[in-house]
Amino acid sequence: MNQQVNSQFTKHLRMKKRERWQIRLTQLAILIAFFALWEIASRMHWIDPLLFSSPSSVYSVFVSMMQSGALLTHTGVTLFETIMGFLIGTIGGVLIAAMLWWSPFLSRVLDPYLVILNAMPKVALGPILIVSFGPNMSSVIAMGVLISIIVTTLVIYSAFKETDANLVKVVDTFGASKTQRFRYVIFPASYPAILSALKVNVGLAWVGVIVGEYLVSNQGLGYMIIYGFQVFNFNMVMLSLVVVAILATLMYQGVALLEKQMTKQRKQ
Amino acid sequence: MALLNLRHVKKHFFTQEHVVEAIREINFQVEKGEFVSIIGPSGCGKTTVLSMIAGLTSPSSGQIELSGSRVTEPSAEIGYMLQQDYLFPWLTIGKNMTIGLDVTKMKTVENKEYALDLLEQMGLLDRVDDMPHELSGGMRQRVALVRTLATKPSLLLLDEPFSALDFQTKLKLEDLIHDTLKAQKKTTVLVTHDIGEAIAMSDRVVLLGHRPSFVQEIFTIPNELRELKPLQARNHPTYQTWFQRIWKELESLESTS
Repeated sequence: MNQQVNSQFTKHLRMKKRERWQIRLTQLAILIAFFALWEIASRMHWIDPLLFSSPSSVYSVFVSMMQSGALLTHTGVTLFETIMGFLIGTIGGVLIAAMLWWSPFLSRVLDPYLVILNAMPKVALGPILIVSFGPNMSSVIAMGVLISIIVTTLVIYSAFKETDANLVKVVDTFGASKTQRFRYVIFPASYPAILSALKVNVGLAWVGVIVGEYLVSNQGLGYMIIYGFQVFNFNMVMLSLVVVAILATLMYQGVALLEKQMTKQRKQ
Repeated sequence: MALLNLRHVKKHFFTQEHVVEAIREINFQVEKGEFVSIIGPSGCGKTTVLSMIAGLTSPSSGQIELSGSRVTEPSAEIGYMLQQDYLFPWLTIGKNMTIGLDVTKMKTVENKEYALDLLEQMGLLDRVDDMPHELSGGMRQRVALVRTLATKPSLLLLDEPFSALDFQTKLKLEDLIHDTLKAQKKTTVLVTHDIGEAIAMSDRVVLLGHRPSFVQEIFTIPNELRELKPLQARNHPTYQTWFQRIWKELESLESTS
């Protein structure tokens, strides 16, 4: 490489690096500006501090709830419910999809019911869940499951069905059984669909669990929001929202990282 | 006795409204170690014949026998190579080529080594840990051949395996596959729409007539062409005469339809 090209290359790299820095700095500035503006607006009474709270008062609630241990309990409960809802919803959805693939008869019979269940706003079934599971944590988890399982089933089932028929033919020519067909072709071929369902389900599980806690619970971040709202403690509401935002993002990023790891090898 | 025997094979397909007669009557034998090509106008049911021999679909009537016993379902005895490689993108080359051993539960150390030997013959031993997308089309089709041969089938069915490749790769692969199969004394049935390929590779060529198909004629390729590699055969003087002859026959079929 000659000198001129070399210097152009370093310049190019420097430019790219600067661009990355500029983006990061702007992002940080927006975050700081948001909280600063919130604080100032609250102190100057541009917004009602009783309703919209302020970062400093949210922080003091955070400190006191950390000291009492209440925040950790609420967070722990919600996290547990969300992970359970997510896992059961995803695994259950994949299992039902496998059953539908296995029996075309069953899938044709169940088709209209799945359409109805999918169209139905699952949150509306809340009261039914509470009377079936009782006013406890299992109702909340059930809400997290319900909201994700149907759409998972439909997405994964269509991935199973749309597997390239020629890939299936490859194992068929060796005399593969239905189980082998599923194990060697259908399931691995649907990996990308399953992984993207995971990403969607993380978000859905959070929705289900927070709504579930609104309806029935005496612990959890959703409960904190409803309770804070009822006793007019908006500092608590805001704190819960911040925690939910952070945890939901972390969980989503975790799944995205998992997806990246698992698809690293396979490109086409 | 012939290794493969098709007797009075007929096939009908059912649609919502009609019964379609795809194959009127097919009779032919393939001897052990023989290389037979099936050619014919497009849509004449060549691939259907191959699917029936493979046991993937069953004939509406008539019999297909392999070494005297009736073919009713796919088995490791019959290897089938598709138009494209269809390697699984989520498996390495090494795992792709032994998928047949997995399915037929023949994955012994000995058989795995045999597959590796085949891969070495194909000149791809160093690619065993690569993913399929890292290989060219010709390489991938060679891996597909290894996958087909790994279960040691006594009969090999090739369904236009060169049709998706560029011309140069196709010619090289024809030679490689021809040599490999001759060396292993494999019995092969090749379906192709390429007259030249059929002449260059085969011992006999079965010409099928238009749908509902039947055996129009069976050509026996002379020894001087059979003994040559496909690429050399294509340059042999008699090759052109045979090409013309089969071409005319095929043309007359097309024009009568």
